Amino acid sequence: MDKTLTVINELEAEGVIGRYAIGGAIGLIFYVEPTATYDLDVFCYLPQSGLLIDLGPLYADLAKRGYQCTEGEHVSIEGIPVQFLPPSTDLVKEALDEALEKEFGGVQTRVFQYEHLLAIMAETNRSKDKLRIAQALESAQPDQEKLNDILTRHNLLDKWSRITA
Amino acid sequence: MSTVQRLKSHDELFREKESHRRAMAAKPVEEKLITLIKLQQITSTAARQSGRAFKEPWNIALPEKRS
Repeated sequence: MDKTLTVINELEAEGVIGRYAIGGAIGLIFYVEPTATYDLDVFCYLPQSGLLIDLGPLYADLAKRGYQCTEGEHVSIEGIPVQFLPPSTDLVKEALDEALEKEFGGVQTRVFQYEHLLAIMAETNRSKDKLRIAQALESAQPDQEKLNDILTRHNLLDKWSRITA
Repeated sequence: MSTVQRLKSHDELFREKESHRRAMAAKPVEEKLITLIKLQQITSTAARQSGRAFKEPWNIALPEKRS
């Protein structure tokens, strides 16, 4: 994964993508026990015009580097299917802006904070998110004050209470 | 080594599982990636053998364990 992250760092350094951070189940692995997942979700700012986001320039740049789109919107970069996702909600924007610097295999990267990852799973609220929340809480305790603050500001307290009841 | 052991209660088993999860969570992320790839291999093999759609495990060089 270090090689994949090196390519993503280059994309950011060259301005092909804006600030990026790892979210999703791989982001969670930085804090809790790993669960089976196949995608590396990279949240990033992309050039935008109005409500439209054009992934074309990013894909074209990746193709020049020899990385092609595989299934759906994934691009296989050094053996890992990567999905580039612009932040779609205020919560995800905040998670991206406040992501932490981390290191993997000697390569610098950025990862959503644990509390943001939990709150995003509550926001998306799919079956697998509920399962992952339960499993995550068994393996690592979040900063409760920080989590409560995020959940309150993004109107997710009720949802969180229902999920963790 | 004796293979006979006391039957554990549900509480004990759950406590052990939770403690295992905490220990896994505390490992370096490079080590967790190795576990993730093993999980992908198990999941893909099980899906393939039961005729379900499956994704290929990541084809990457495994990271070195951080000491």
